[in-house]
Amino acid sequence: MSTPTPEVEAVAPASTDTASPAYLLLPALLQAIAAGFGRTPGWPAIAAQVLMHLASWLEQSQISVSAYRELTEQLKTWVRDGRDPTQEDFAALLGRSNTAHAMLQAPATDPTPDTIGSDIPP
Amino acid sequence: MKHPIPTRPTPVFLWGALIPLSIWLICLWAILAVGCSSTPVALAQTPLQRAYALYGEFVVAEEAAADLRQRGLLYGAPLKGVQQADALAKPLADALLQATRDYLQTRAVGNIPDTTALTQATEKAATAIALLAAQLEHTRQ
Repeated sequence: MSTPTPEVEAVAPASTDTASPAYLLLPALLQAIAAGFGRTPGWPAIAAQVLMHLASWLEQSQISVSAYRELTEQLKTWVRDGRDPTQEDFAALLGRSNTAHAMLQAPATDPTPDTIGSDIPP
Repeated sequence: MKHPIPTRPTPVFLWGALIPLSIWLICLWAILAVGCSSTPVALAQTPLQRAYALYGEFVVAEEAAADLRQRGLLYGAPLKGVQQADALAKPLADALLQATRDYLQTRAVGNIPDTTALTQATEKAATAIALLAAQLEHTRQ
């Protein structure tokens, strides 16, 4: 039996004792799930719907997440500096609230999209 | 020219395990990061900071709802639910703002302000704002 050359040894697979059974099971499990999903009729449509919902959810969350983070950081700064919000800080919030409130409470001006589903009983 | 130290490439099956494992670790980190971070109201240490944090959370909820409506993603019965919750919360949130004005004015003239009115206004607004946030969250499900 010939001694393996360094090149051969370099590409030889690692011995099985370095990989735990969990490492070996995970890819197999994922492959099984993917294969099962691939056999489901209309899976591209399902995948597209899931992706669209995910994208929509992320997009919807984007604004509130960044504004919420900004508010949290503001509070952290004030707590660290031991200072209270001023009249101007509250006035700025009131301005934003009034704008959002007016947009939210404005009556629907066109038949879409506010009236879509409005006749569906709750 | 040969490399002085022969490198052993990571086996393919190991990459197959490492990628999902790293995704799970990132998810776990994100859950922990969100779970451990405090809310603005929880961070606040003075009555004024608490009032600002609460009103700020109200504004964030209102802006998110208005934005969803503008983009046609909030309509029909869910929109009506959010509008009703907002209509209920807005006067109480504005009353809280009035209480902070009184508090700040009393302090500005050198008097020690009574925190009772501010605390009561905060408590009243908190319930209504929580309802609005819950209503908004419900529309996303």
